[in-house]
Amino acid sequence: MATFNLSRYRQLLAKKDSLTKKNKDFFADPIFLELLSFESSLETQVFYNNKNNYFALIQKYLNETINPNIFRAQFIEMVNEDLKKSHKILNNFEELSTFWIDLELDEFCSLFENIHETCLYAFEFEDQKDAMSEDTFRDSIQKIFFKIKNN
Amino acid sequence: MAKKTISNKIYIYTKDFGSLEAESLKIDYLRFNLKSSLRDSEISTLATYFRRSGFSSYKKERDKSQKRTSIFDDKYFEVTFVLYTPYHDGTHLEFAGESANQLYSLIKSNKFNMNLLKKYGAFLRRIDTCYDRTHQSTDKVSKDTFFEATLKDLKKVFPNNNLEYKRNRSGELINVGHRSSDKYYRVYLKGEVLRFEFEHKHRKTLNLYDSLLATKQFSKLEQRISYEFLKQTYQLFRYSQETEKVEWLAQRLRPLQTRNGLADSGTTINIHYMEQYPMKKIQKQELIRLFQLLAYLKTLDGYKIANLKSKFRRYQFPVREFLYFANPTTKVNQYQLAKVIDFFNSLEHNIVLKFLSDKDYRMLVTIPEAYATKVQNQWMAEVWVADTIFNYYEPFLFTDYFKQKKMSVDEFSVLFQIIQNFSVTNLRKDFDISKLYTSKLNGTRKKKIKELFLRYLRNLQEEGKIQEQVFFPLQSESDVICEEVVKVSYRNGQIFCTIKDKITSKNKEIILSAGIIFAVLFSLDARVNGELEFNLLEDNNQQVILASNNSSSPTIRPGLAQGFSSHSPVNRPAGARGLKPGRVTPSPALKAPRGLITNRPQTGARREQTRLNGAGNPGPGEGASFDDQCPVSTEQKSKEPSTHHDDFTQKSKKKKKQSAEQCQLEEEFKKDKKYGEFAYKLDKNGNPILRVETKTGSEVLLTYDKALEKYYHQDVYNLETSKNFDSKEARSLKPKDRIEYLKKTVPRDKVIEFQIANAKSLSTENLVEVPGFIGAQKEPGSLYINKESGQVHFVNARTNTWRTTVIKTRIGLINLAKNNFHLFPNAGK
Repeated sequence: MATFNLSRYRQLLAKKDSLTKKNKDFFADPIFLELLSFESSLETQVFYNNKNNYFALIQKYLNETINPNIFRAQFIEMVNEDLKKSHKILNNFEELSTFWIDLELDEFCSLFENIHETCLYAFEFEDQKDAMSEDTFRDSIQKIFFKIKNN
Repeated sequence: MAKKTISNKIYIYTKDFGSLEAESLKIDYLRFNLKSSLRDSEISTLATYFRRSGFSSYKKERDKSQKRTSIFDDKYFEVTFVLYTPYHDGTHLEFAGESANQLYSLIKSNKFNMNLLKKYGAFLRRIDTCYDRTHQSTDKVSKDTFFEATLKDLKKVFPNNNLEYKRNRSGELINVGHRSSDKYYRVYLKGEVLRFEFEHKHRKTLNLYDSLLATKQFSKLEQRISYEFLKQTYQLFRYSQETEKVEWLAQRLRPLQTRNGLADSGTTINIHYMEQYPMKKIQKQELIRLFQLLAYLKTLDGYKIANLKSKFRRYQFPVREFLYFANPTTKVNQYQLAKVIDFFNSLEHNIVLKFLSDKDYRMLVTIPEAYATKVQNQWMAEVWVADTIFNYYEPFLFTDYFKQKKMSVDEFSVLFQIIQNFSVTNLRKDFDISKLYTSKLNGTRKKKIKELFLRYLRNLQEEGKIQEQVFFPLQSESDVICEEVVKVSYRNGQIFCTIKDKITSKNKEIILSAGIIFAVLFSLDARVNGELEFNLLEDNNQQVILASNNSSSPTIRPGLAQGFSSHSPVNRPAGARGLKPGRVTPSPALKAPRGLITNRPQTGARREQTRLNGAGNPGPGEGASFDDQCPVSTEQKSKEPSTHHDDFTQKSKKKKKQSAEQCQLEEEFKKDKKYGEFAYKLDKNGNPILRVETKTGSEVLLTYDKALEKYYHQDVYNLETSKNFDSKEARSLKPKDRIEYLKKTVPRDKVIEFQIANAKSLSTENLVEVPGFIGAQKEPGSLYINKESGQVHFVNARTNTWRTTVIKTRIGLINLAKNNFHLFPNAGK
């Protein structure tokens, strides 16, 4: 665990402002990508802190207590809530200075994002030819959940 | 109809294939036999090692037993120890599905110690390889129809083989061969994909695999696995009548068929996949000229290699010689000479390349420098061509009928239309007879055109490009007759097709409607009799054990099974890459078409102005794409033939009319406070379509219908909703029910409020606009990414309309950037 590197974060924010003024291609700029990685580590920590609720929701879905649409809706809603929470923290330097980050959450981050992406995709393509079947969706969530639990 | 064929088989070798990844193949099952039965302590040692490698271990008493007990069950991948089998006295290790693939990956990346298995005398006993064909939005044939047709075809072609068709829990399944035989093939539904799976137990081949594994020759191993898989698949599906689901196979093997070393030099032209939209006569002529030029250059020995980053060949030759090559029966006159000089001078603009649908090939065939100059009273051409093109195998090879005699306008148009329709990736070729002529033509000319059409079709049939089995859709898509064609003829202004009527066994004549569709298995070389031979010759030199000739395959009728020839290998295609084979990945310099210009060889040759001004050849900087709405000079218009092009002219007029209507609609956009000061117009239901001018300078349209459909995303903007509306309930419903729910519970003003919120979001300063895609079909569009909030809006590139908004996490944004801004790339896979 380590505290959030606030000084570097401040530097990156300042550089981002200058990038904005120069109207640069953000996603090709290493500074912007580093800033995104910084913010991502915080977001992931917020998700991780809330992991019990996420796991309980996934478990409910896998146990067929809730239907897939409800699961997806609730999962996306929880992510959006956590994103709002993390944006608030990112704007509060005082809170940031004492925020602890687990440095070994890369695997969790990638698997969690996988579930989020799968839920978004299932919603986006649900009535189209590219739609994911509920069986495939379930398999996919089950596999990722298994990995996340054994991570 | 007698076929003129020249027996000239085409040999396919293991080296023609690439790695499993390149061929989009997967290992789906592995089984190792151990020399003897393991003791419990030995099983425990192995299980502990497997656990460390990420495998749970199970054991079961008998091979067919469903019950198994776990040794360790805390890992994702699995290995099963099978203790007793009736056919081998020793323990078996079984890896199924992803676990087999994972084990192979670990062995390949040196993360799994094979010696540990070797210690117990492990040898490979079975390997399953599979290809997953994903559903495509353009699919016209249902999986049920495919299964039924495949079974029918297989029964017809391989009547003596064990064929089984059954429905299981996940869908249909076709088995070819007996489960216990050396080669066993299955086609079945796996979730949303159609899986083609080959189960290989041939002892000698597996011994070879084993030795390649032990010596870590993975590239050779994978080439051979790919070879065996594609060989089996080809032999099963070569006579397929329902071709849509096996087009991937045709695309993979098609280029290998065009490398016919015995074809007379200069008598054929190689053609690549072509776009199916209308072309002007001059464009058609120049495209054919380009392919003829490439064919001509292949006959020349003298060329110089330019010393550049990418290898280019510089050819110099008299223009007259090329004209003679392209039209040997026609005397060269000044008009033709001027026309072909004009062609050379327009070549480097690469105008016609837009009509080739394969972008990689377009880059490869791009001519960086070409011109004609007059040297001592003789016109000389200088052309620079990428060296790689001479080792490339285009998917189609046609006899160059264009050069055989002077062609009339109609002859050229009909032949070109047939070649254009034929040069598509699909095995099914659609020919629309009505496009060949218009009603304005007189009866004699119409008759002539129809006769030409039939004549060229016969030529294609004689060249073995068309299957004997032909599909003729009549009044409706469902009314499809699949019979053997006896004769296609023309009488009294109508095209007739004589088919054998299965019920009466008598010939029955039907009148063809406007559409005629040919199913072609593999568009074969003009000079071959349709046989592809898979050959292991090169392996002899490497002391590799050959699989036996035709005996072991249960899937092949002896008469059809191919022998292994001792012919020496012919040229191989330049790299087997995935299922778009024969495609040479351009060198970095070739990747950007314009990059070629910067690499343009600097020659000192001075250009002379030609007499013709190059009608139809836009100058540098002009768009190369064909567009009926582009201004066309009167001179050029007058050159257009008055045959079927009239159709296109009419379409062009229609388009122009539409365009004018669109302009009118553009003017209808108004501004109003009630729509947040955004420009709007009303759709046919009286609902607003908002137009947003983004800060990135683009325009985006937001429709009411889409806003209603996506209204459950309103929480993105924290909008106040109506009392009846519950976001969670909306999301939990199925799409159709959700729309109904939204229509009932969300008042119009709330939808408009959401539309305006989206519009505002699209007009903020924080947005970054990047070109991107959505879904597996790579629907093109623009992504508007809010770098603060993580909101990503997708706007369809063709219609400029908003499709959706999602909120991405930061890692999601990073992944998006890494993935070339492809949103949901795995959707539909």
